[in-house]
Amino acid sequence: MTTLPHRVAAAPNAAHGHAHREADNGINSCTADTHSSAPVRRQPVWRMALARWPAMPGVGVGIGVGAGMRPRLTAALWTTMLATLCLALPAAAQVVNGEAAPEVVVINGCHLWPYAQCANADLRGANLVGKDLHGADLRGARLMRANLRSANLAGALLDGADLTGAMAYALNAPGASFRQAVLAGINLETSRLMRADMEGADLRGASLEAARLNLANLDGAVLVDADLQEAKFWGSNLKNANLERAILRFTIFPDANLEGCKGCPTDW
Amino acid sequence: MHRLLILPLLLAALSAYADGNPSRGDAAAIALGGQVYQANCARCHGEQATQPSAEAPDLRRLDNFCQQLKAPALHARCLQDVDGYFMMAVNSGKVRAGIIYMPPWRGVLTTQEIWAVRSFIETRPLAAPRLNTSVDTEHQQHPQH
Repeated sequence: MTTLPHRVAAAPNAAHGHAHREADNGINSCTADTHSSAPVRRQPVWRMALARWPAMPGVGVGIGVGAGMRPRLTAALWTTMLATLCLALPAAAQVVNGEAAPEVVVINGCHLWPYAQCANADLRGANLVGKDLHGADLRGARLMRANLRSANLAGALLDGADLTGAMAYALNAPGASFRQAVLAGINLETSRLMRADMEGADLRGASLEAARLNLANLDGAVLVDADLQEAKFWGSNLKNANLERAILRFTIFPDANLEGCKGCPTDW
Repeated sequence: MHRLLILPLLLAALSAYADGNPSRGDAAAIALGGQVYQANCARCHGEQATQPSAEAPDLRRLDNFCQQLKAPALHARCLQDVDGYFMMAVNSGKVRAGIIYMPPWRGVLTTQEIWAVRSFIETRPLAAPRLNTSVDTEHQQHPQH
């Protein structure tokens, strides 16, 4: 993995880790004393302030607390508000800083950005969570056990790619091409695969629970032992596909082409 | 002997694609690109590449990500990838699951013309962000009491 200069993070993990650390620090600074191991339990700043707050008429009326009242509900509300502020500030700082350039991750020479030209790239086990890779050329790429959760692969080319055992929960890949790709054991739960071309793809043992495959082409695809419960195959082409032993609980096939399909239901 | 000669030629041809658009910023190429675009692309991608429709994507948006990159080297590398995508997409067309969204232009447009179109699109002004919706406009024209 290469580190690039000028606001370019070494890896999404690192960026995330940093962001999390910032958020954690923020929380700790707000509640640093709440977990103190001192013999006399020290009160956090906000609680001391609240304790010193006199019974001021009108204070807290807006949040449903009457004059002179310091019930547990008020403390809970203050805690929630402060925690929200502490969590929100680091994120807000990133948003406000309009000059920040997007983070770019480079793995084995592949720049992970939209329209990336990464044919045959070695991305085994790569962390691609949430990456925008729309239109990318990943034909023949090795993506075994990569994490593509919530990534965007709209219109991307993955013909002949190997995504064995990849995590691709909530993947967005409408119009992507997975022709002859190996997707054995992949997790594609709740993914958006509308109009995707998966002709001849190997999806044995894959989880496509609640995935949307409307108008997708699965001609000759192997879906043996796949979990297809609640998957949607509106107008999909399942000609000569193999769905033997697949879980078809609440799976729907309206207007789908089921000609020559093994294991497909016959009542659609 | 022949193999030794063919290899450098092949590598040179490949590097021509890998290096990206050779006519970027060239005035003559931009003029040519404008003509080629109007004749072949405008019908779906919009007149002068500034009037996008629902028919096909607004091609000015191809460089959206690259334009956010501040480092010159990274910016150039990003444009190189988009160039590669553009050349491939135009040559091969947009065909998914047997449906032709855009026909392949290989054999119709030359490589020079395709790069010229890319150069032309890069000169087109970006659309100003819309501050009002059609509903807002309607309300302004016909205020409700």
